[in-house]
Amino acid sequence: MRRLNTMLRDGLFALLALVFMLPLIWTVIGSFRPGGDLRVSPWAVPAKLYLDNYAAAWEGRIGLYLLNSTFVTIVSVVVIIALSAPAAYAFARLRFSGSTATLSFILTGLLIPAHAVLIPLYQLNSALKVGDYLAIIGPYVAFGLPLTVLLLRAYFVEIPGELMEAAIIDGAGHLRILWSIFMPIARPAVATVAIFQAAWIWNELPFALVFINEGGHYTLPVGLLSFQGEHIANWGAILAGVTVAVIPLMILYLAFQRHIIRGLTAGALK
Amino acid sequence: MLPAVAVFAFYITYPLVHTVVLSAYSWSALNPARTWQGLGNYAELLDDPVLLTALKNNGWWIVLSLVIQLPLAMLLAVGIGSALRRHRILRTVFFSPLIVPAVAVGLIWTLFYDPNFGALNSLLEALGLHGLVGGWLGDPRWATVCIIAVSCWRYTGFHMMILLAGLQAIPDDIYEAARIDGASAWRTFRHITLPLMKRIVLVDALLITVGSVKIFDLIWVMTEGGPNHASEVLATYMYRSAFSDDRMGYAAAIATVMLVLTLIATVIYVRLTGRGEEEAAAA
Amino acid sequence: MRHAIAVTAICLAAGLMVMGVGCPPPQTPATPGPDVAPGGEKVQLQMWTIWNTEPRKSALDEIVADFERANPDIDVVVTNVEPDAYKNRIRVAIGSGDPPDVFFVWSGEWLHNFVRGGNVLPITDALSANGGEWRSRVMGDALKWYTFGGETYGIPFLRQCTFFFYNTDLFARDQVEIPETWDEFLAVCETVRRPDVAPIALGNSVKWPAHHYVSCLWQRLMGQEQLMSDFDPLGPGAYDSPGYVQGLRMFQDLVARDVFNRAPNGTTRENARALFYTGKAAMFYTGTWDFNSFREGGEAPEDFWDSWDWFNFPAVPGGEGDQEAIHGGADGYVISSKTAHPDAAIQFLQHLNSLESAQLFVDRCRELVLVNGAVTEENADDALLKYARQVEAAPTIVPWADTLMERSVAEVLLSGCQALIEGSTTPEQIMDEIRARQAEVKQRLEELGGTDVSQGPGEELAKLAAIAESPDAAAEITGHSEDWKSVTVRVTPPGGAEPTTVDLQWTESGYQTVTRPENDSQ
Repeated sequence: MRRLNTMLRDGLFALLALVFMLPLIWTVIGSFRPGGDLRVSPWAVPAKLYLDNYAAAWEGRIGLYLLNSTFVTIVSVVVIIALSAPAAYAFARLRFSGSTATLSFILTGLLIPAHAVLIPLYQLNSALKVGDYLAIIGPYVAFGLPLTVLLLRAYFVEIPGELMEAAIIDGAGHLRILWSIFMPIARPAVATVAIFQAAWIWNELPFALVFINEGGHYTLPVGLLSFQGEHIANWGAILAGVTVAVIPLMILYLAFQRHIIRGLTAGALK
Repeated sequence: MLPAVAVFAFYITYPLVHTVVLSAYSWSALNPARTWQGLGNYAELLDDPVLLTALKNNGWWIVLSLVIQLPLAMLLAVGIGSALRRHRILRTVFFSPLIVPAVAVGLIWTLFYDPNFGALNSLLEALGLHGLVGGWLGDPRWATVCIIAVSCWRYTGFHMMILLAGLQAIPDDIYEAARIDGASAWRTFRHITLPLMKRIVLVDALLITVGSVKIFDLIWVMTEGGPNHASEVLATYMYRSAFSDDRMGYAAAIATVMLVLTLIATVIYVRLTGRGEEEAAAA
Repeated sequence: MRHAIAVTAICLAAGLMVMGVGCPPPQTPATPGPDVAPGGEKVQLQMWTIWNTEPRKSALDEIVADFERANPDIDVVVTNVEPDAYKNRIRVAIGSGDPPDVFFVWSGEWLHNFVRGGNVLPITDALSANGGEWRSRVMGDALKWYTFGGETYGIPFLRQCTFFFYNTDLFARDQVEIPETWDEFLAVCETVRRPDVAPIALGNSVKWPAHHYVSCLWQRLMGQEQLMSDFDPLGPGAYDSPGYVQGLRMFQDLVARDVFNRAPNGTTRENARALFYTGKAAMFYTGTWDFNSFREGGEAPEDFWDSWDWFNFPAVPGGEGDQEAIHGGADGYVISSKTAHPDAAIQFLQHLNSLESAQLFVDRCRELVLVNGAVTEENADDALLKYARQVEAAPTIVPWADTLMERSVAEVLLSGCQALIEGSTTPEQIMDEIRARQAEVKQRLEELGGTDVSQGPGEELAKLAAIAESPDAAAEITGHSEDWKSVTVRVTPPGGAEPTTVDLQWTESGYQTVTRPENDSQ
């Protein structure tokens, strides 16, 4: 009976997984078909592998866009975490005047629609004369902070206070406590948040579109648009580009997961 | 914390103030002339039938997203977190829609919903359900629901991950103890998991709410807010006012309305968690 | 308090940490640098275009390379932006006061809006120089749509027109003759109809395709002059001719006859195109931009490449408009009024508009470039040749209504057409809404900045500027553009010295002295 239950549950999850996966599977299959066929017979399976889309995507500098996206994403995420962790720690653990007000203030950042701030941010960027990369990394960090602080704070609050008190008795400073106690315990949370931010930045369009001037600095979502013209689009190349963009990320994520689980088992929660 | 606040203040506060101030003017990005409107833009918003539609749709987005995504994400998190822990691939699968760029999401789903040769209508016809065959994204009654379904596909995995991280923070021995006591799975969930996850669930609910108020890209790539404004939300209407109708001041007023709405949600959140902390302190 | 200090300490430490990690040395020099390159005096022109896909992209690159070879002191930096994104990107750049020197425009109200805001440099004088040599290159009356208040603000480059495209196989099967009048057209729809073939493909999820029908019907019924006087947001326009409701009714009737594919509002333009080239629809009202989708090498399957042709929108007998007019727009390029290098920019536009560049573009892209003699037997295929001849022979080419109406008024029409398809509104209701919106817009434009703001900074301001130009001398306005954006002032210094003439141009920071382009080159 218990076995049947498990099988039923596993089957249900597998089915759900298939539903979630179908569009992606379609994308990968579609990337091996001539772009024109996609609307003639959208749901057919290709008879033979058609690789021209990948050639077109490569010629469209998809490799460069991948590199740019990787660089921008990694830098932004590292900065976001480095800035957010101390802030989240302070909000979670220290009582200081105005903490609620400051937290609420930071939370307002969650609320701002990107399109509303394009013009002032563009002005800011031109005034600062920052390069294309910094022009988007700056806003990415600022807009990534609220969610990260919010989530890390929520996790930090759950960490038993005794650990911290013990460390303080040992004479550890706050930064040390944060670095050697909170961060290891919260590693799954930090990894989770890092993955969210990476996924968001990887796909972010409005800022990248408006703030990056030079074609050679385009990130992937902007680069993909260069296959989409006024009245014509190379859908084959777009699907190939999407496949190239998504698959490495999924593999990376699969690899990352092991660390999340290890971080959990190695954690100080006994 | 200071550097965080500094970066934040720099990149967010200035644009924020800019937006609120300019909502009191009538201006266009193309014209240096600005005229003071005071609350004129807001007065006009009150009379605007499209704004009403947008507000109603945002309401649907919030309610349906909360009702569908939160429980589904919890189910997936608990399922994956316990029995299917080894199935790392599954977790990746549920998360994967989030990393598909919006332009591809638009293509895939407009092909799925296409009234003439889309998969949905083909499937219904194959099942003999001719009465259900519809215009989907072109049908004002269905357009919003159709896009919300796509949003659930895209974001449930994201929320699953948030809950999962919270779930993993619950020590195993608590469950061990419950198992020895012979508690059923539901009881364990109800009396151990849920209370311990309260804060994370609240954070997640806040994220869903705020995300639903700000939702833009999925709608823009699928219907652009149409047909005849049927799937319009605040963000698409703001975008249209700013960059198509050239009414920056009016758009800023819509943005301010969005800000106020999300601010209310945040205040509720801070109140709820604040109370939780006081209880904890009292205990 | 101690906590507060601790927090500050953490923050400072974290700040230092971040300084190390967070500011990687930029891999490339920061923003595209100033005009002066390290070597010598090199002028850099920023050009923004929506030609972001092949073959247009490479064709433009070739044209630019030719120009740079001929003008080694000028560097043209091209930014190719996805067309939909371009609409907001260019607005953000202009709104922030940092526009590119040369940029792409769609003709009609879209361009007019930029001109009204004083963002575009007039090039009338350059066009007329050398006995109007440049002006005479441009095909037909296309410059008309780039001219406002007597000044011309750029060059039309590509001609895009809309027609009824039809499947020649399906028409041959039913021995259908090309319809010339609206009634014949309605009859054709019935003849080609089959259970699995819709008479017409319509993908209206982007709103404007359905409006093309209404736009053409309005033109046929009332004539372009009537439309233009109503479309002008500051004109007397009352939208009260009965032709408006009639045109909308005729479209409503088309919907009622069920000539379109299922649920046009839920069908994307690309999917409607696919219905047409897969033979699931016999006709498709679309633009010549779809040539490249139907041709060899396009999206359409091979058996379709030779199975298409087109005819002009049918005549409406008894209508007051020109029944043979073609509907189309002219995409082109303008120069920013803020450019630091007006001469170089004009030089570049002249090159872009030369016969050599035009022929190169036609050869690579097989599109109709608005330069006389650009399309030849050598560089064009049959379709393009036929199209070019048709445009040359057309009595008039009129832009679509949504490109001429003020944007938010056009929005009412576009959404109204979607609602007509749904059956949730009536032609009368749509016209009531259009009239109401037009009144609002008129009021708003008039409020914007005093006297006649949308038309420019106003006469009073110009007089003040003229006086400011010469505090001790007598200043007299000797000429001005219709919108008062450019003013010519004659300044007579005290003491009987020779009077000088100064040109003033309205900019964001008020009137600025400008020197005429041809003065510079002297």
